[in-house]
Amino acid sequence: MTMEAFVASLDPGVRIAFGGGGIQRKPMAAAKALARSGLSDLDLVTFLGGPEIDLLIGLGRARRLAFAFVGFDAYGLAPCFRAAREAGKLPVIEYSEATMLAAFEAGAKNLPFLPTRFGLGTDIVTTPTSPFKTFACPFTGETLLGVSALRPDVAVVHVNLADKAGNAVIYSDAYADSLMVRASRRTVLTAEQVVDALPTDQTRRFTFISRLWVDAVIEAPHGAGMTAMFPDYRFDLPRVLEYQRKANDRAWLEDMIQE
Amino acid sequence: MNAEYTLEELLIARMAREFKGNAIGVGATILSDLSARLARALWVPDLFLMTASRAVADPDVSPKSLCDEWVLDRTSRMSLDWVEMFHLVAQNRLQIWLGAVQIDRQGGSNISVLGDWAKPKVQMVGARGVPDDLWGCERLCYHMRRQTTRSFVEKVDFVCSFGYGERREQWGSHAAKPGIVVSDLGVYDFDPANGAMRIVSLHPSIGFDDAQKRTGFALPRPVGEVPVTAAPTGEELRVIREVIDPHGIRRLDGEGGDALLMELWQQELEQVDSPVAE
Repeated sequence: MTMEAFVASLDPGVRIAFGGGGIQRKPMAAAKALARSGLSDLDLVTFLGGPEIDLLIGLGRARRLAFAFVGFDAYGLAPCFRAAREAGKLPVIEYSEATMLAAFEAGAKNLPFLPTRFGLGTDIVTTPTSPFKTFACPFTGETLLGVSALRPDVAVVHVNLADKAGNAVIYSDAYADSLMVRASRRTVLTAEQVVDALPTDQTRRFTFISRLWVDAVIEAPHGAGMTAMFPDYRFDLPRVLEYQRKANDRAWLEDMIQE
Repeated sequence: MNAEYTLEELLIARMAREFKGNAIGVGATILSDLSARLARALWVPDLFLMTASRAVADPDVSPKSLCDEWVLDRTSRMSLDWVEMFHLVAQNRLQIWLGAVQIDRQGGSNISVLGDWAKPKVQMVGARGVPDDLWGCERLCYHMRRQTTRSFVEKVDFVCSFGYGERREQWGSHAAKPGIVVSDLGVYDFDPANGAMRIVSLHPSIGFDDAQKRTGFALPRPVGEVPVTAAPTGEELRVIREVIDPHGIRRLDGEGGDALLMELWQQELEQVDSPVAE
């Protein structure tokens, strides 16, 4: 599949989830292609969001965002996310890390919800868009937090290697990607390299994604853009800092997605 | 401050004292990350280290870098996925220094938003793992980079973790208790009798009035002399400077700034280009 065909297959309002975390292994090539397409009203989902989420928000493509974190890790806040939220223009659903994992797991298991203790008694439970409800455990009576299932329409994950059937490996932190893929109705992988056969003598630590979860594979060399893709390339720190300084300039951002 | 060591070195050594063995030791700030490495290097040999990337977990002690995955990959024993990590959190196997934006008098913390959640005055990063670490960890320790009346507050704007007070009474006592708070001025903990923050020690040359002036609530005045935070030992300073942070990444928490960051970045890229000694 080509990036253009993938983007053309999406409808306005699609609930789309992005893999990776912060400034690690973000599907930047896919996010930029999506931004160029002009598709709007995106219902964004991210475990730990970074520049891919930020640029879509900055260009006014987002209708809503579900997240546990959005930022540039140790290198600062996400400028467009921040501006949109402070202007009161971006509706969000705020999770914590473990509650978002529970929401994906419920989705993957085709359940309406799963219980946790994580998050109980904190303000993520009291927001007007909270996806949580407390309930009494039917066995012990203890108050637990029910986390409603999260089932994105499509997940986009950037991987190191994939074969044409959709089997793939990730060599760096896989974050919530395995659960997110299994919770999503459709999964598209972008890969640094598409190979005829994945290496069978794996000596590196890796996370495997089976073709049974994958609908399409797109080859996207350097597809993580300014974010890190272990072991191939580090995040591009000068670019990350430049993005933070300039991304709230709409003209600069429009140019940036053309690159 | 004595010229023999910097504030950053003092803080790394102080935070390192809080780690116990056979569990994960994590620092979410640069200095607290270094403190876990220091503890492991000197007196907690079975501390399980983990940095921002879970893909490289349980490594040997290595120099801190801006891209830890590339350095730690050589000695890491495993990658730890996030599902397993929260199983370990749920079973009290995580010890963590969090970096909060606000901490309150009774130990509640906030990294999500300042002001009203619906239209924040400042949108920060979101609650992240703080509401989770609250349920499983025995206690949560905080490294507050700058103590001010805006960071040490009566009540946090958005409760990512609760401390003592009403919420603990409502939600039960087995949530993590607020532990030690370390700032650029001093070391604090919470009085179990009333849940209020109190001074454990102040750093050299910092007096009670200095600390009170930069606190948004009344600190109880210690009886008698205020203890002074212990200086790092010669051995601690040697390990910090020669083993865990030879490149001086700890300076990002002090002087900071993009210029220093770019200098460290260039230095790191040059090391990558030079052959690795095996």
